[in-house]
Amino acid sequence: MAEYLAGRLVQALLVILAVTALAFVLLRVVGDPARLLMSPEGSMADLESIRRALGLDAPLWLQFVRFLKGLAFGDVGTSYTFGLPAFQLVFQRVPYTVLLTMGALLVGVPAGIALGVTAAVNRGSAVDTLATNLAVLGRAVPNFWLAIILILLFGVQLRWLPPSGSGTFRHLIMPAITLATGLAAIVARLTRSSMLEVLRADFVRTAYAKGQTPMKVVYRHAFRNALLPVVTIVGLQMGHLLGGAIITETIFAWPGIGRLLIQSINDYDYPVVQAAVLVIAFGFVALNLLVDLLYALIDPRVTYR
Amino acid sequence: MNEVRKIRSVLLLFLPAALMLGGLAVAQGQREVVVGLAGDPPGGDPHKARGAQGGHILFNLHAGLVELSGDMERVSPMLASSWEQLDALTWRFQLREGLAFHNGEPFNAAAVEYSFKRLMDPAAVRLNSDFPNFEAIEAVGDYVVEVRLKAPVPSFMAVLSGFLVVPPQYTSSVSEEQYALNPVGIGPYKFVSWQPGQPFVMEAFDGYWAGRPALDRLVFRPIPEASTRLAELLAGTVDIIAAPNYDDLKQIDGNAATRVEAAPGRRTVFLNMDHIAGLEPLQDARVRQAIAHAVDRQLLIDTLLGGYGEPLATLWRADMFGYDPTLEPYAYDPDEAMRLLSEAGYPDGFAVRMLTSEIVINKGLEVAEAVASMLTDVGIVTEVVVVPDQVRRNMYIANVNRDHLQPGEVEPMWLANWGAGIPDATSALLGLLHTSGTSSFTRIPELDARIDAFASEGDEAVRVGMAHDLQDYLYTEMLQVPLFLQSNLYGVNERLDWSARKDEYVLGMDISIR
Amino acid sequence: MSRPESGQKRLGYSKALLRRPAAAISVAFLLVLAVAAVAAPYLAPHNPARQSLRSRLLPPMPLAGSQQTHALGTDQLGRDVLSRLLYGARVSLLVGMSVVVIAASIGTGLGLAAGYLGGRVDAVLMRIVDIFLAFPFLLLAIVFMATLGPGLKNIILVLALTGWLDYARTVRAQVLALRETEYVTAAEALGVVKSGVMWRHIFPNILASVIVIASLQVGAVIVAEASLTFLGLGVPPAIPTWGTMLATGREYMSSAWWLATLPGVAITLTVLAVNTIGDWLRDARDPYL
Repeated sequence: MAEYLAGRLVQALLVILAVTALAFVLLRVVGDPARLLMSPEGSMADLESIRRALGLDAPLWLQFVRFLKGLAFGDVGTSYTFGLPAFQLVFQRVPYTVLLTMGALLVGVPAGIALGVTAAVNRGSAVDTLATNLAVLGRAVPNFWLAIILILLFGVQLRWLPPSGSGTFRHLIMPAITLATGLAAIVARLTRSSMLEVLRADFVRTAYAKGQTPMKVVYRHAFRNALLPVVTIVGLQMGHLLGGAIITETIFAWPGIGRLLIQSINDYDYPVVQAAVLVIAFGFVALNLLVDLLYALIDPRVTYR
Repeated sequence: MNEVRKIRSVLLLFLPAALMLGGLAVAQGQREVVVGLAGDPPGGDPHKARGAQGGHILFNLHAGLVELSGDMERVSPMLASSWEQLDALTWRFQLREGLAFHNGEPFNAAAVEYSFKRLMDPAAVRLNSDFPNFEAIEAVGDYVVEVRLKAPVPSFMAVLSGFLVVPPQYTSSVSEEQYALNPVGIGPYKFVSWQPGQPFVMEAFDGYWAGRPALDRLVFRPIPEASTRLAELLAGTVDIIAAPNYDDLKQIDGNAATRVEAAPGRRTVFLNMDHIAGLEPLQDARVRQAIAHAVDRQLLIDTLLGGYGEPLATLWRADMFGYDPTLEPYAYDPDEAMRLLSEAGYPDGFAVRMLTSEIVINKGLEVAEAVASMLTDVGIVTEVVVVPDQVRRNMYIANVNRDHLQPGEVEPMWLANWGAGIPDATSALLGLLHTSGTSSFTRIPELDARIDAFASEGDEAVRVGMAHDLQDYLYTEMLQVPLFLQSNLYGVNERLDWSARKDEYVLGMDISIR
Repeated sequence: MSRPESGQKRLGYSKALLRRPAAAISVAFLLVLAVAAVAAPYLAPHNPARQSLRSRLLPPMPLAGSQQTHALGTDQLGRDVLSRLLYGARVSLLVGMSVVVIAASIGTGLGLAAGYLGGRVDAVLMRIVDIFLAFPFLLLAIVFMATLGPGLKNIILVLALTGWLDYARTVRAQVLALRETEYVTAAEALGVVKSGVMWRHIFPNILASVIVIASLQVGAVIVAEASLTFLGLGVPPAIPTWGTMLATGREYMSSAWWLATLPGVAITLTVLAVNTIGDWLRDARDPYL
């Protein structure tokens, strides 16, 4: 176990390092931040002085060495746009992204499980079709259309919720629902198929044979076992959501990592992009690792066989 | 089920955090105005790049020696009460006495001198390119400063209005990062709170030289999506929104609680062209005139721009020094366009690619597509290329390789705007047309000489003549095909008395609550 | 799960289709859509690129102010929405299918290699998958569009570049399971070369689940293309797609709701249909599920 864990940790570290290096190289290919920082009324000499001030006049390898050196001390530089430490900017967004992710999970996972269980228990009937299609609808409706409709309905017409922004629990509701639809669809799908698989397993049949009521069988036996693959996929989806839900965050003016990432990419704000990529990759890899460990620790076949 | 319970308990941990974040709570009875901006301001440091949103913040937090009026036509005293010109290159300013910065630090000539030195610091990324030919600003008495120039600066007083002062003791005692998060100025509003992505909150400064502002709190919220800004305005949660969609203006005016405020803007919109290694037909002035005749500017304004905007004859704005009102914008005349094309040797037209980005101007995509369709109608088959705005800027602003481009490396024609912050054409001429200009794809030595002469001429009467000559030249040569002047548009809650400014800024001093 | 395909199976598909009206309707819908897309030049009442600024933002029939010549109204530049939807179907379906074909080929190939060859190949390939998963898609997309320039081909490439991961992971997992089955070990014992085993014995068995993933991905890609447009990285405006129509139409939700809603409905219906077929394929393949 310890060996397995050590191996996975080394691999995770390598993945993070590779992602960081890849981002570094790719960023330098896209464009020159000095041109974006310069006032249009400036001169070519101004451009050069900006380059020097940002250290962009150095050869690429030297920039990379400097970057790695900084990284070793936990510093990827200062934002070109905001003049603040890049990591600070990113960490300031993390709570918002985590909140939004949690909100989406809180809405999406129960909804998805409910739809999935309903569909599985009523397999082949009209209820199954309805529940399955409802779940697919969540995936099929484009996020930004749904987001704007929600804002117009609950923010403007009914005035139940603030149209956008952050600060209170009420601000979280609409963006969380927007993100939850896609999540619910995936969870519902997986719950359904994993429930169906479990429902025909021996121990469930045994439970039926013992004369337990269907409800009891479904919830006491089948559901608990069907949940594990769902946890796996939820973990993966969480990784994606933590990487920032750019469209949802933009429309709801939600100050999460996704919006910071797109802003910094648009400004060629290299240090911030670099910091955001690093944090996102770290979150993703850590979650993946956690899910794998969880899976290895509590395999249902081990527990119930 | 255990897992679900665990998730739930984790979430409960985060709820208090959710309630604490942001801190938008307002005390009862405060006169607060919330402004919805299209982007994030870069912060409160007046000596750094301002971007599109910075001015809203800086001109509320800070003040300069003089102030430029909202229509950019008058310069009035600010921190300086009076001034005199000593010679062609020297000005002397008398400062107001007894003023203090937000932190109580006294305002004096030394603070002005310090601020200018900080602005011009060559080791830092500063806004100093906005102050070309400024030699020094020096204290010559406790409350007297002298401004020395290297060469005459056209519309000097207007340029000077962009120079803002900071308190020397505080500024030199904190790091640049600390200053950015806790800016201290001497403007009508003082800093309360801000983090990138969060609302920028300010409150009235009791010690403002012209008296305490009417509003207690002023909040700028970044709301990138126009539909969301509109929703906030209609819901009454935001009082002023910048840059509403043109097609939403009717709804804003139709709603009892809101109205549209508009002012002629400072951004001129035009088709720019590569005159260095560009497409061959575009090197012929007759072809460029044909393009100018092929575009129905008024139709663009009446339809896509909701009726707001003014057709342009050249890149010279009406408020700019030496504007020639006798030049009419090129008439929409497709027949004349086709005649000119034939005359230039292109009776069957030609094909060209035109680059745009969605945010180069308001509705950058739609305007480009409409113009392309109009050009196609006269035989210039135009394909629109859309790129993210940063890609466009990397191609056309300070492109150090532009004299040695491979064909196709940049598109031969592109939608562009120029938003001179002062009522003078010098910056546009130097930037867009002079060989040394960072946005210039034009190499005409004779034109360079004329621009240089216009830029350094101190005698106003001579300068007017030069301005007219230059406009005639631009009008005939059509090196850039001017389209229209973009209007500054806002949606405003009816409880406010406020009107839009030419310089785009939303300033608390202009607003009052009915 | 691991039985080889047979003729009997194919008969099962058509029977199952009859038993599932939702699937039958979906197949019919997609067929009609495909025909409409192919025949767009004949079906479209107008040139989809033809602008008319004077009659822009006309509402669809039967709303007040609508015109018969523009049954589904006009967009912000006065172009006929119905014609653009028809032509848009072409490009959107083309993008969806191209991406799926490329992604499925790459993903299946690498998944097969990783699962069957195992060892170092597996480790390296799976770490590459991890890197792609952990790398922000947006950054990749922007780098691509900035270096290669905008265009339909590059959009397909960008979407395919991240689309193969699902296949690789799923196929690898299946191959790991199949590798242990009797007929594969038997084939190996008989001395069939590795590539032979892979293509003749393993590949046919994973094909079904590849098809299921693919059917799900078509819809996801159409929506992803809209997201790219939202970020300013979409297809050139001369080519109408549902994605660009939806993304540019969102600015008009308050003034002309149909501009975003009609392509939105088209996308939703298509995704529903494709997903329903995907479900049916899976159910027909495994009668227990």
